[in-house]
Amino acid sequence: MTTPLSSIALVTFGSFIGSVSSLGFKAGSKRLERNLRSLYTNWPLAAGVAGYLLSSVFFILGLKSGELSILFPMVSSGYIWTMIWARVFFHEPFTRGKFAGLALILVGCVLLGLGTRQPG
Amino acid sequence: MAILSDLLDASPTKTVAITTTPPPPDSVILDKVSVTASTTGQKRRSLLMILLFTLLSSAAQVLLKFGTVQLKLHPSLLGLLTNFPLIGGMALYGIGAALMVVALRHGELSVLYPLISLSYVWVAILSVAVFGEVMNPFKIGGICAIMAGVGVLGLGAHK
Repeated sequence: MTTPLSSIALVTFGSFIGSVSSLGFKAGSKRLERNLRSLYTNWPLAAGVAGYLLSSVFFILGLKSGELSILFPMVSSGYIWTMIWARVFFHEPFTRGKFAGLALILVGCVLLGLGTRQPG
Repeated sequence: MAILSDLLDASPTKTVAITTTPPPPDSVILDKVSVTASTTGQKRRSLLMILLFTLLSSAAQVLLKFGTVQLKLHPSLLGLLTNFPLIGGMALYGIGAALMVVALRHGELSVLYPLISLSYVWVAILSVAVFGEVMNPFKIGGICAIMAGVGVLGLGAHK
């Protein structure tokens, strides 16, 4: 079984949506208190959950044809977006360590892409 | 790795607390120390919750993959509604998301969120064990590079 490019495209698009929805989770988590009202009036959290579900739809569509051991790690391409959102919206600084970590994750994704062409 | 450095962070604050106990004006410092001590505890709890999240989400991936196989066999609305692996996978996803929200309260998004990549190891093991997918040097190298990236991200956050 090999993994078609269309599956990889679906999963990477899903992970982009996932990175946007993680913004909702972070913003929503700050509003969370120990009462139910803070849960159901929490629109950033609701948006985050909706985005998360939407991203999983793309993920499922991608999974239909392709290997789980390739497609699931490909989700990590979303962390590149997450770092940009975190900087823009929560003012979390870019550091050399973060860049190095993300570079390694990217290298990993490329290697996985090469791994789909080679039969085990 | 991040847990280790958390422990290292916590130890100096404890020694400060012991040395500053006798003089009364230092009670202000003690208050500050207790605040930082509780936040490192909360950070550690966040890390543990993220670890649990990786286990839940890996199980969810396997269920979802099962679900897509079943969806191919029964491609109808009824088939979708009775697709229990798919529904179960989504449910685990939901539980995991709830855990993540609580975990994200204490800690940087850019650190905790990539920690989720730990699940790649669990998924790699499960996809070989459950679906008989074959590993090759590229795949193993790719997963290792992603893991190394996660480690570097975790270390960078404490500087």
